[in-house]
Amino acid sequence: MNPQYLLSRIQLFSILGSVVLIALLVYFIRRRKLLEEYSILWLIIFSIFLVVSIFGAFLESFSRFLGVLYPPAALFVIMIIGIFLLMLHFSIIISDLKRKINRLSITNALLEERIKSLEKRGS
Amino acid sequence: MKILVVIPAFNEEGSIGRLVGEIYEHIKGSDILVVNDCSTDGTGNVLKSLGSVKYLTLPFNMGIGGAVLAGFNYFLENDYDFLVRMDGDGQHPPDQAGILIDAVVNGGADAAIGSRYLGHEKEYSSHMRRMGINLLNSLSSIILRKKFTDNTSGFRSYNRNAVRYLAADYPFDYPEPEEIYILTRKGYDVREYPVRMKARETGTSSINTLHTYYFLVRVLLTIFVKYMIGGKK
Repeated sequence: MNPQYLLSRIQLFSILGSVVLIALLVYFIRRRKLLEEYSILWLIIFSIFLVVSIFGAFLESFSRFLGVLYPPAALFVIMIIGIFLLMLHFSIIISDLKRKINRLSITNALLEERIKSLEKRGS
Repeated sequence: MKILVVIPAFNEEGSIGRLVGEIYEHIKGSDILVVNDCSTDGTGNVLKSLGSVKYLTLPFNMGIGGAVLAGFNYFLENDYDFLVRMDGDGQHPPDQAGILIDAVVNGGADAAIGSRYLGHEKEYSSHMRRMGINLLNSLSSIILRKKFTDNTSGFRSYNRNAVRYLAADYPFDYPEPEEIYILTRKGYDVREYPVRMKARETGTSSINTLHTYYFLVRVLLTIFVKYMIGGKK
């Protein structure tokens, strides 16, 4: 099989895939399912994926730079780096949320105690 | 001078009542705050029946760090001067708290830690736990250039400055070794005093053998991370 042919076919699929993913992302943002704040990194990664899919030359030089003989494999590298970045991003968000939830819970417990003692004093 | 005794409690229905009685007997004029860390046994009901004891009920199990932090916040909000922390399982006899209170009230210490090893080493603990404790002790000696023999002890007293500083960014779980580290690095005067401790009366320790490995790795990692951050200052 002609490798050039294979590449362009993968190229077609990855362009299609990126467009669908970006469309999906925009859809979720518009439906208020996803906060813009948390969609930025997704958008950046999908866009990079799209650009790389369209400009095969970039992918080829990038894969040569990495020493990868098969350009589409370089695409996977980009994808995996992107996924790792997203996961890290989520861990940061989760840590932040956990800290906030803990603070909120403590505040709540303190308020509850204050109400209890006020009620006791009132009765 | 207002003293608050903070007791983080998770499933301590069997020991908390007696402990409270002993505290009133030995730490005169203190207020007691039990932080019920979402116990699944009758701890909540016991607390309700105790009358004069103040208590907080956390909405979910936050772990020891969260429970202690809740106590810190209560302390700061209600203008107390000194805080004594002790476990709810009866390991820390209230008649031993006097040494720790004296250290922060009259001795000028910012925080005092009750050590079960200072003076009489090789007692009370399982082999595995002692190994972990030894490792932590050596580590703190190296990093802090100050010897601590019982990094994991939860029998402690603090003055208001120390509590305020700790409450600003308190570790979620396993806060004890890190606390010593944070305070000492910041220049607070943390001292250790020998205290007598008892074996647990009821319930199970939050740090069992399987947990010890995880505990160690976590504490070492946190201290390592803090060390790197601290080094940049």
